[in-house]
Amino acid sequence: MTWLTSLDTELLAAGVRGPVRARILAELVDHIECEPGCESRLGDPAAIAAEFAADLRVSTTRRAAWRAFGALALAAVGVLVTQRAYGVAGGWPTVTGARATFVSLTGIAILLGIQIAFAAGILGALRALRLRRAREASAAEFRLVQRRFRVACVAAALADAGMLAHTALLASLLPWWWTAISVGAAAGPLVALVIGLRALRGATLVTADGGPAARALGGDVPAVVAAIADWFSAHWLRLALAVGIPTTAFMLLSSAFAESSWTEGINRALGEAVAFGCCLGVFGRRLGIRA
Amino acid sequence: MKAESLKGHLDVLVLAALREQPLHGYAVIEELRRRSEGAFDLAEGTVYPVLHRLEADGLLESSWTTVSGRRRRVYELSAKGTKALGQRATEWRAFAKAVEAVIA
Repeated sequence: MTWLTSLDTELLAAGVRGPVRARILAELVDHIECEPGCESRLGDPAAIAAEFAADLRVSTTRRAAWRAFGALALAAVGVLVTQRAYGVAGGWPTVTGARATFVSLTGIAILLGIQIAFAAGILGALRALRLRRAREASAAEFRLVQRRFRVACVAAALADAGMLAHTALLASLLPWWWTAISVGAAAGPLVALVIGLRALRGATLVTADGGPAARALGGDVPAVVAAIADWFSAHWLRLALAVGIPTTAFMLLSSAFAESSWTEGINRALGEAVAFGCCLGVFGRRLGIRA
Repeated sequence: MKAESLKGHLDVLVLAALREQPLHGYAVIEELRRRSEGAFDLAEGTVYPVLHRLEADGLLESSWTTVSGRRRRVYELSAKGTKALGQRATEWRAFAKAVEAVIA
């Protein structure tokens, strides 16, 4: 096995693929062509591949976090638009029989998906903020950011899939424009979420188990934002509040906006608070909130 | 000088090697060797992750050229890189002066 094939193997093992791998190999081919026989001075292929992977961990996680965050924001707008469209179209139609069962089931999927996506998305953003300030970060810390955003994107995709199913089930009972808006508000974010998940997969590939601490995400964070993020991150209960309060507030405002009723908004917000408590109990450890 | 001693300083050394003119990876290493009069004993392959990292940070720019039928990536300092080199060189001189004062 030549030094180059050995490096290629190590790059693949470290998760360095595609154009970046091709570029690294091309540069090293050129290097060896400049001075044939210099391979012995190039160093350990495994160490070099690990160093490339550690650096890629930063750029791919940064890119994936932004894409996932953008997709989640788009999904949130899609939910608001759909909710408002129900109200403008005259409210929920009356459904009976098997259709009512399916509408209820998909409704539960949508509700759960939104809760989990919102909570995991906020947690991912908080952790990413911490990684932007740190000088160094372990692979485990990067994996936590990636996992939170992945959970958020999968949950949001589940909610969007539920919204599409709702649209199919209710299309014959509501105006055509409602169907068009609902499909657009769910399908658009769904595409964005798939792009976000693909980016997260790429970031996961170069975040192998273990490995040395490397650069953190980098970039300046305003002092006020950093202080707030630090305060909330200091204790799991504060962290839970950092997620629970915006989630409940989102439900209050979106429901009041969609239904043109503060009473309905308050009712749903209370339900949201209870659901959040349950989610904290079930998913808290997986998301790294509770020890 | 062992590679371990160079760790943490390689970024500024690579930036300095590119101060005069654009260079490809092998030429950067040759430049480091020439200027240090062979004092740096580093695994040459470790320079490539540094080049990629500096480019990702916006301190270097790079482009492909073709030489004798093979592709070659040539690096040059960006405006941000030139500024960063000036700052790091100043910091290094202050640090080296302080160390020298202590150990003299």
